[in-house]
Amino acid sequence: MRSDQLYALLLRIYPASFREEYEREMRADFRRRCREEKGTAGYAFLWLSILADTLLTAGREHLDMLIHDIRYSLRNLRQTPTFTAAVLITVALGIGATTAIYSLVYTVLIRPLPFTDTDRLVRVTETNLGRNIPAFAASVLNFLSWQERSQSFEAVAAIRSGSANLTGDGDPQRALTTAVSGQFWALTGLRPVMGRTFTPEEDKPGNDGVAMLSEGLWQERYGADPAILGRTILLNSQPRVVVGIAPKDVGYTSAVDVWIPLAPILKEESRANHVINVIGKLKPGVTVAAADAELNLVAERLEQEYPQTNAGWRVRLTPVGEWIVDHDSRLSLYVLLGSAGMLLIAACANIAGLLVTRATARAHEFGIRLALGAGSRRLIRQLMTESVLLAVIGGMFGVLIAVQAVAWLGGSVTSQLPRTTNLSVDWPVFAFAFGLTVVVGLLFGIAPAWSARRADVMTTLRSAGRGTTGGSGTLLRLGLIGGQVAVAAILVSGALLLIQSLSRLQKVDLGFGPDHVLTAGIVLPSTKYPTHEKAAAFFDALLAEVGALPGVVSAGLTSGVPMGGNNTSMSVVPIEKSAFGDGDGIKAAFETGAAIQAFWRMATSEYFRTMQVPLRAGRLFDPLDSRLQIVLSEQLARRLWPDGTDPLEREVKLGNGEVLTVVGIVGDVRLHDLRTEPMPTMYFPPFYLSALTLTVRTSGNPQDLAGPLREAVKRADPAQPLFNIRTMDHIVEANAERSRLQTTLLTAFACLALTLGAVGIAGVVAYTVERRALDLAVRLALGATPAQAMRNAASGALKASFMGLVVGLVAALALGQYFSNLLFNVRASDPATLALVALTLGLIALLASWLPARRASRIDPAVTMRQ
Amino acid sequence: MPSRSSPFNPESLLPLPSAAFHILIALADGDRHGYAIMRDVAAGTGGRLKLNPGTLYTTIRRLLEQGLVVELDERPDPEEDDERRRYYRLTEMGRQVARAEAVRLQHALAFARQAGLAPKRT
Repeated sequence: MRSDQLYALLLRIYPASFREEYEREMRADFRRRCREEKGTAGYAFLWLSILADTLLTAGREHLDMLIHDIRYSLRNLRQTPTFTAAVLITVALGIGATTAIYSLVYTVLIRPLPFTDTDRLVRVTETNLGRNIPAFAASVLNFLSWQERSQSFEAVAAIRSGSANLTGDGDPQRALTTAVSGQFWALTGLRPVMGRTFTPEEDKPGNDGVAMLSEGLWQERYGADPAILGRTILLNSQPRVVVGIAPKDVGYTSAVDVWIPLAPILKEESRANHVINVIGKLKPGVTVAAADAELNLVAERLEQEYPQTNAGWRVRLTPVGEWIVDHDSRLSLYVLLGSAGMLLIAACANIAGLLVTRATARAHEFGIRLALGAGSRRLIRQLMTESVLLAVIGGMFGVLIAVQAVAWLGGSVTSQLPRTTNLSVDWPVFAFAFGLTVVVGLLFGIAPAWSARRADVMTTLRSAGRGTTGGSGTLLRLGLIGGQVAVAAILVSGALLLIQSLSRLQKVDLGFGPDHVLTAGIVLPSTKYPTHEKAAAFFDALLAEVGALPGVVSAGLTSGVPMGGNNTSMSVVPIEKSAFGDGDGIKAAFETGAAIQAFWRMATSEYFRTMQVPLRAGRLFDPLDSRLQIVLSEQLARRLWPDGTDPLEREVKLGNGEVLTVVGIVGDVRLHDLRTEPMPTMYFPPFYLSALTLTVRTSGNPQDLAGPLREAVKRADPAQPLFNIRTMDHIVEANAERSRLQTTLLTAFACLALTLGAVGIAGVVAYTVERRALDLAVRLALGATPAQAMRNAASGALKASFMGLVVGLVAALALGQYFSNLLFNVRASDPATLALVALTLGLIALLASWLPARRASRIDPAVTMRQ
Repeated sequence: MPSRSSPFNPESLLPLPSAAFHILIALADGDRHGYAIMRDVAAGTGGRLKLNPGTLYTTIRRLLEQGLVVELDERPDPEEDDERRRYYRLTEMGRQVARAEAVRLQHALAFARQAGLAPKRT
C-alpha cells in the first residue's frame, strides 16, 4: 500500500524514541482512517490534515525533548561547577580568538570593496626590469598617452597623493590631498556623501578651483556642517570652492583629507617624472592578460618615440584587490587565522577529553537510564545537547572576548593592515561565530557520544560498579592528547620563529641613530615662497631659532627621513661611462651594469650629524663650493666603481641629465624598512626647498621639544604649520609594529595551546591512576617500586605526547615554507628552534604527567585492595 | 511532573489542552486503545473534534509521563482486536485532573452566562 509507506516516511520526522514507541499504532490507525474515508476529496482532506498535524506535533515533540535535555544538562553542569567552568573558559578563549581574527580577515579580505565592477578594475604600474624596478608610479604624460591609444579600457584614471596647508578657517592644518583625473569617480563608482564630484571641465588648469572634503575632515574640522558646500577653503593659499563630501571608505586608502582635480599642466610634466597611480576599468570581456599585452605594445611604441625618457619602461597590470591588500598582508592574516583555528581545534580536543572522562564517570547513570528504557540514540542525543549547550554558552562569552579583542586590535592594527580603519564585529562575523560555536559543540560532543554508542545495560552497569570501563575511552583520550601536543608544537614553533624574527629585526644595524631625534614636516606654499632665496631665508631663520633652543644638540633638514616612505629613485652613472644626451647611451649603461638606479634624498650637512650617519671619506656639503655636489652611500660608490677607483672628486651623471661632483661618502642606511637591506643612495644639498623634514637631535627626551619647536616655527612664520611631529624611535618602532602584533598574537595562542596540552596530559594521567588503582596496587604488592608504578601510570600519556610532538614538528616543518616571507633572518627549518620546541614540550609533558603520577607511587596496596 | 514528596494538586496541571481533556474523558468509562479513543472523541463531540494520530499519541505520551494514564499489560478485549494494540487506562490522578478541568470549564461557562455570552441553562 503506497500511502502507508508514504505515511511511514512522514513519521520519520518524529524523534527516534517516540517513533520506536508509537509508530506501529500510528500506522495502524492511519490505515483504518484511510479505509473509512470515501471519495478523492475526503482522502485529500485526510492527507492534508494529517500532514499539518504531523509537522506540528513532531516539532513540539522535538522542542519538548530539547527543553528536557537542556534542563537535564543544566542540572548536571551545575553539579560539577569546576568541570563546567573549565569547559566554558576553554570554549570562550577558542571561539573568542578565532572570531576576533576572523573579523580582521572579514574586514580586510572578504568585505567587498566599495567599487562597482571591482573585477574589471586594475592598477597600472610602470616597470623597468633592466633597472630592477618591478613596479613604479606612472608619469602623467605616459598616462595621457595610454588613455589616448589603448583600446582595452573603458576608462583610466590617475591618482596623485600629496599634502597641502589648509588655512583660512581656524588653525592652519596640514591636509593630505589626493588629486584625481576626471574619470576617477565614474570609473570607481564611488559616490559623494553629499554634493557632487568634479566635472570634466574642472580637470583643466585654471578651472580647478574646486575641492571635495573627505567625510572624516568634514566631521572633525567643520562639525559635519552641510553649509560647507559652496564655501571657499584655502589650500596652499589657493582658494577652492567645496563642491562635495567624499565617502570615508574609498577602498585603497583612508589617508585623504581633501580631494582636488588633477588638472595637469602639460608643459611642466616630463615622461621621466613618475608621480601618479593609475587605475583602469577594463572593457567588458577583456582579460587582464589581454589588456596587459595591448598596453605593453603602446609602451613599446612610446619607448621608440621618446627614447630619452621611456627607455626600458613597460607596464604591469594588477587587479585592484591584489593591489589594495598585498601578498604579505594576506599571508599574515591567513597565518593568524590558521593559528587561531588550530588553537580552537586544540581547545575542542581538550574539551572532548574532559567530556570523555565525564562520560566514563557517568557510566553508572547511563546504565540506569538504559535500564529504564532510554535507547542509546536517546543518550547520544542527550550528550550532544549537553556539548552544544556548553559550546553555545562558552561561545557567547567568546563573542564578548572577541568584541574586546577587536577593539584592542582596532587601536594597533590600522596602520599595519589595509582597510582596517573601521574595524568592528559585523553581523557576518556574528554569523560566523554562531556557526563555529555549533560546529565546535558537535565536534567535541562526538567523542563522548562515540564512547556511549555501544552502551548496553549489562556491561555498563557491571563495569560502572567496579569503577572501571573498557579501553576505548582511554585510547580516544590518548589520541586527543597526541593531537593537542601536535597543535601546541606547531604553534610554539611558529611563535618561537616569529619571536626570533622580531628580536633580530629590532637588533638590525640601521645605519643611523634613531634615539634622541625628533622629526617634523614643513611644506612651504609656493605662493608665499615663490623663490629659492625666500624659502632658503625661512629655513635659515628656522634652523637658527631651533639651534638656539635649550637641549638641542644639532638640527638638519632632509627631503625624507629613513623609513618615512616617499622613496624615489633615479639613474646615476659615472660620467666616463655615459654617452651624453642620448637615451640609448643610458640604456646601454644599464645593460652593461655601469648605471645604477639609486634612491636619493636631499639633506643638509647637519642632517648627517643629527642622524649619526657616519662620514666615511671626503667631506659633507660646503656652501662655499659653487660646484654641484653629491654625497654617495658606500654601497653606491662601490657599485659605480667596482674596480676600487677613489670616487672623490669624480663626476656622475643623473637620469635627468645633471652632472655632479662626488665630495663625500657616507655609511649605508636602511631607507625603506627594517627588513629591506640598505639600497644604493645618493644625497643632494636641498636646492629644492618646498617640502622638507626637520630633524633635531636633543640631549634630553626628544618628545619634550615638540612644543618649543612649534613656537620656533611660529617665530619664523606664524602661518606656517608644522606637521607629523614624531620621534625617530617611534618611526622605527612603527615599522616593526606588524611583526610585533603578529608575534604577540601567535605567542598568546601558543601559550594557550601549551596550557591546554599540559592540562590534557595531567588529566589523562590522573584519570589513568584512578582507573587503574587496583592494578597498580597489585603491582606494588608484588614488589614493583613506586618509580615503576609512576612510569606505568604515565607511559600512555607520554607515548601519545611523543607521537604528537613528532607529528607537530613534521607539520611545522612542512608549513614553514609557506610563511617564510613573514620571517626575518631565521629559516623556518631552523634546527635550534625545532630542538627548543621539542625540549620545551617534552619537559612540559614530563612535568604534567609527573605531578598526577606521583599519586600512583603513594598508593597503599593494603588499603586499595581491601576497597 | 508532580513530585512524589509533596501531595498531588490536580489544579497544577490546569488548564488542560483540549486534546488531553477529551482523551481523559474518553478513558473515563473504560480502557481503550488509541483508535477507540479517536473514535469516541469524534462521536462524543458530534464529529467536531477528530484527533489525528500525531496529536493523539504525542498527547498520550505526555499524559503517560504526567502519570494521568497508564498503559495496560493485558488486552481486555481480544476478540475485537484486529492487530496487537496498546490499551490505556485512566489513573486516579487522571480522574482528579479531568474532574478539576470540568469544574474549571463550568466556572468559565457560568461567568460567560453572567456576561450574556452563553445561553441560560434551561
